[in-house]
Amino acid sequence: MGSDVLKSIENAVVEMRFDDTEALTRQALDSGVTALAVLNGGLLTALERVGVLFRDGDYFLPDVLMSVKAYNNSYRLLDSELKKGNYKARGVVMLGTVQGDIHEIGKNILLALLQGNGFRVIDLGVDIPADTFLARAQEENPDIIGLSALLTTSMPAMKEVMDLFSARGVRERFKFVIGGAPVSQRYAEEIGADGYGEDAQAGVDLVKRLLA
Amino acid sequence: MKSSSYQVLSADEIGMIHGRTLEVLSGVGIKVVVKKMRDLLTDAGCHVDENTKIVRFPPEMAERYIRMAPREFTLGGADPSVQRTVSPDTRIFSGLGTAINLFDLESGAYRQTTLNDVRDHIILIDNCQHINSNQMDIWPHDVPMHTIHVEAIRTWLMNCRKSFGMGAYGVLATTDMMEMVKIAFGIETIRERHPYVAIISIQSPLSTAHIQLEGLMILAENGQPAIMSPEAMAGTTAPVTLAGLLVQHNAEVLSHIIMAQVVRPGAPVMYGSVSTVAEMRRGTVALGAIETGMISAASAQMAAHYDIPCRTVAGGTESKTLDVQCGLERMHSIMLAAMGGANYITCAGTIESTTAGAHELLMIDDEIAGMVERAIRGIEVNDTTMAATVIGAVGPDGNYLMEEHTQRHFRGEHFIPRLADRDKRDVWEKAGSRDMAAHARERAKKILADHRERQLDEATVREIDRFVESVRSRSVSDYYSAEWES
Repeated sequence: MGSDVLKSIENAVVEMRFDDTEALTRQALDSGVTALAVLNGGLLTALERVGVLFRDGDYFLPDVLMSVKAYNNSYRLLDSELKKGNYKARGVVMLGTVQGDIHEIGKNILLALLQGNGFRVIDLGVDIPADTFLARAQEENPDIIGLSALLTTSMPAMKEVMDLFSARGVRERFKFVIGGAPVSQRYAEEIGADGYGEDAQAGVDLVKRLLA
Repeated sequence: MKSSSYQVLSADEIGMIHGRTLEVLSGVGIKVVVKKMRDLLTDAGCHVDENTKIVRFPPEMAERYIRMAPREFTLGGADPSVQRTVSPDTRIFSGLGTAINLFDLESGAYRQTTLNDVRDHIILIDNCQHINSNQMDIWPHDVPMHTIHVEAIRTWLMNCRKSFGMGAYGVLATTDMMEMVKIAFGIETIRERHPYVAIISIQSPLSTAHIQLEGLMILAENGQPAIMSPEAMAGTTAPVTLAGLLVQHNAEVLSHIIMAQVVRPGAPVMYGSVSTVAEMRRGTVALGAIETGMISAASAQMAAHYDIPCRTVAGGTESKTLDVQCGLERMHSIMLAAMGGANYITCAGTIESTTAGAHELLMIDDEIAGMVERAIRGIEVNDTTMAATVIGAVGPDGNYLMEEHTQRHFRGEHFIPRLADRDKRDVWEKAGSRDMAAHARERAKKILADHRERQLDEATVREIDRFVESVRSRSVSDYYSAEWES
């Protein structure tokens, strides 16, 4: 019974049936399946399959995002029980679009994919000044801080964030990753970031690598 | 709405071309080089001059026989699950060519073609998404000339679910073609489903090719479809003016359609066109010319006037490499043929005026056909597609990527290329800096690696093999001696 319902949850996430994921998760929990079993045996296996479908070109961003939405519909129901136990998120990532830039699509895709890969994500939003990044980082203590920019004109704001953290002597407490259309690996090296992801999937891979 | 089509002739102009065509058919006439056919035409009411072999078609007789040609017929596949309708309202993309050289998929070398290349091409067609019919495209050097047709048909039967066809080359070869499809499918099936559709090349100006005419007669006797295809060139084998070419070309196509109907009323036919302009520096053909698409569109309009399906050449190019010319010439001729309303669009996968091939180009043509289908499908407008609810839900500064509406509709609304590269430079470089042709080669290689032969009934395979063996034991002179009196 337990493995049947887990397989059904997995399929519902892969097939983007978000109402079903919620109902099936309730059914699993009511019948005594643990939250951790749902997470490991249903949700994470589903996202692995989604990852493969995406890599092979069968799934596109809207499919992945809808699968993550279905995942979240189930995960919400597990969260409180997971927190009671020993479960720990894979890591905490703080994301924001730097000051002077209000573009957020890329950042939001990364956010969804990170959530779907078991990370806790704190989203600061768009047009975020350097001192806000600093204040929130000190509050939340993320493992990784991700800076996003779409405009070439807002790229220097990434460097300002890095410089502020260095000036306050807290640069080494966090890993920094950057992404966005005008950004490159070379620019990441120039400003001293720890990594660059050319797209959302590469961003997830990068975060996993940095936390390994 | 469906996208507006590309039209090059007004209703009046179609009428004018038709009128002049009847004058050419009844006045100048057509040279018919097979005696047996001339006898049938005499009986049908034509005026035949046995000295010159010129046949003149009285207008009333011509129009009566043209009306006998059916509006549509089934184009079945080698596999019964693959079945299409050929009619003035449908569209099918197909291969076809006379490639005697090919770019090797592995080494990139330009080399002579082999039977294995024929097989690969047929397998690739089987796996195309938008190209749904097969015509003989690659001509192998490593089997005797007089066995090519049976080797090709056997290769098709063993490897492809879609339909097949090739030129009808004389009495013996065309009879072989009919025998083989009868072995594979039975006479009833080929009369109903027509898995095999042959091309009849026409000798412009205003003549007939002996072996092709014999082929036409055998096909018609068997009730099998024939595509009447002149390759008239404006400036050499046709008047230099496009309207003049159309009059002559129309007379050529109609005379052949009439001949098929004289042999067997109701014989399935297509109004074909490989006509284009001549290259005026050298007198050679220019299939990649923009006028090819214009003539294709005109042919489709003329065919629609007669309510007969139309086949046109497309994707032809004079380029010798996989360059910009190769890409743009294939795109514009495919696009114009499809927008012009052609119903059977051939010559995917070729280069160099269809005399050379490249498997990667077949993959690319499949993608072009998909784009063209998308363009013609047009824009669907209804409450769901106007998306007012979603526009309201997302609001200013939002984005649509995470909306269910997006997920539900993107595959239908967008044509999603498999081969065109849309990555950013850094992503592209990381993946090996591969261009579209490289992606196409990779796809072709994967299809060929994954291919499994069709599972045919053992007795049928034995009979097919036996038939091929019997053809192998013939000599070329057997073919010449089988031909009918000219």
